Amino acid sequence: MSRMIIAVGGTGQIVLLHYLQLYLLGVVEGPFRAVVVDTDEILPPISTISRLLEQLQYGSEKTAALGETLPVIEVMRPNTQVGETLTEILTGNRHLEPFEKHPVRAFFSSETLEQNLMRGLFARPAMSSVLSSLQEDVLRPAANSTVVLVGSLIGGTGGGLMVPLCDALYSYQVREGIDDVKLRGVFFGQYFTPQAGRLEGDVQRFRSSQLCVLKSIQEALHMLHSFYIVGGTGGTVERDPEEEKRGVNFPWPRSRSHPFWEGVQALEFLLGESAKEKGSEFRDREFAEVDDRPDIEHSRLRLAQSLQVARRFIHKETIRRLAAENWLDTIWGPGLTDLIAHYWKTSIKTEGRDQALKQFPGQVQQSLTELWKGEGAERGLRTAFPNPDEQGRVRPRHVRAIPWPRLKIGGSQDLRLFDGPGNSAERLAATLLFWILRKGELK
Amino acid sequence: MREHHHKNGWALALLGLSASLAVACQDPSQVGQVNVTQTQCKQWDDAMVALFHVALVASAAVPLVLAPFLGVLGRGFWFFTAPRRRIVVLSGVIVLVAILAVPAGPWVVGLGWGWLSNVDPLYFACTSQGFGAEGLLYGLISPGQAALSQWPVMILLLIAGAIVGCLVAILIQALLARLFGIRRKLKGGEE
Repeated sequence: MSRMIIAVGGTGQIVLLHYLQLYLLGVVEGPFRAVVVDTDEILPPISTISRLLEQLQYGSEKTAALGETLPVIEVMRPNTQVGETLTEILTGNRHLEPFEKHPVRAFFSSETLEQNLMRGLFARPAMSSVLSSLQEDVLRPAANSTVVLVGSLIGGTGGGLMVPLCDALYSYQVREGIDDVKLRGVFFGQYFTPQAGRLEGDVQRFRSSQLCVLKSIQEALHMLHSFYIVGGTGGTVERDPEEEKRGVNFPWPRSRSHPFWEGVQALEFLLGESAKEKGSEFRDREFAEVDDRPDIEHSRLRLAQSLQVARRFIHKETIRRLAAENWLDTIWGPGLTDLIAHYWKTSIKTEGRDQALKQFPGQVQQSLTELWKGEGAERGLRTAFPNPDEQGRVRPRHVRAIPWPRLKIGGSQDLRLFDGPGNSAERLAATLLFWILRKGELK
Repeated sequence: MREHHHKNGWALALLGLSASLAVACQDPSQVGQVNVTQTQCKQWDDAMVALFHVALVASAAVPLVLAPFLGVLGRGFWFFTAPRRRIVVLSGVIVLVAILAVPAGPWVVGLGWGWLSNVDPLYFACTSQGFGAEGLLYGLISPGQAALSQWPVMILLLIAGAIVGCLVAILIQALLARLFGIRRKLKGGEE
């Protein structure tokens, strides 16, 4: 059964980010397809992880990595591109004169009409509902799949797009006869308190938006199989959207009861759960509780250990050491050395023997550093994770113990991906980092 | 009980340090007041030169012999995963030990015991008299001069020997890496 996550708005993106981090750390398994739907910017760490996944591609399919089927991250930004404010989009004019009559005034307040959409929807669900069509191929579900929408009911994007998105997905299913699609939702009620002064009439509007969207879901969503609601009784978390947009070392929740972690657990549960039948009544489709997985303490341990092994591997310039070593398999193990040799041979094929023999180890080391720390405007992978606690000393045997992917004779390598100077080195660096994060341990 | 052992340990360390200092502070000229024969001086000088030759060979040869095997320790320690660095550091450690053991040995640990047991403490008096010393490297360097007085030359020669040994060890290691390292895997087919 294939799995699809639709992360709607800022809340959906944060839950997806945590889920992607857990996937990279080997806490949750792939593959899955993730679609980010937001009028606002994509969180930088999600973009960073997406770039890593692209560099992991080994075969002709996007999901084909060495030893792993990758998740796919796609982005959909509903935006008409014809204006920045609702006034522009709906009337074609930048502003409406104070006494100018126009039908839009019957539906939206002046404040809402002047809201700059490039800065977000600010908990105004009605605004997102008039944005452009949601009939994009990226939303087409696969047959025999579970699709989970994640997002806030009170946020502008989540609240406004949740129902239209479900409708779009269902339309595909019916129109194209796609069988056996289980549509589910992780819906966040009011779980955070907006920053003081950021939204006017905040709390009141949150509650009314939540009620409005829940009623819409109840009335319109006969196609929704099941759902789980996070929060909903009041704000317990303070969010800083600017910090979220900056997205550097975005911290993890401290406890399982935090709404974001609860959302991650609900997402993992709904993606995998298969026993529940679709209830006839809407209220029968709600899950009152979900499994306590992934466990936050275990996840923190994985985070700390994986990042430490990765940091040490890069800092010690392991590839250069390995390239000059005669006790190769004794120190590093045949798994790692065969993997490096394989990519090195590809580099020889595509870039020429003399050049590859001299430069390959240095190129890989350089690529590892750039991937981890970033280069120029591109963020490094270390910024996509929170800063972990130190866990212990990393020894070479910890690198040796990683179960590196085995190479198969006649494997489906797409050499076009490796064409061009440095491509083999970059893809090897991505592969090494990926497996260190997923399997690096300090035992 | 553990505290008692700690105290004993400190006492022994202090004793050793005092002994070294006592030896180092020995005034060789005081020893010269005792009569030593030319035969005795020649005997002690030959023993000293022999020790120097062994130290010189060790400075060059031990890195050559040990370096190829040090990599095994790389399973547990990052330091040993850097091939050249481990050879250079090994050479440095060996030459330091050789210097302390032979050219500096008479002052640091004293004559007449351990590996210097064939060199009497009265050998200090021989530096002020001629006794037909052979010189270092079978007469190539400083013939006629007591080996003890040639300690700066001995140190330089030991360092030179270590550098040569280090460079050859690095070359051997590079050759071994070509034969048994990752380049070997670049030749074969895939598994």
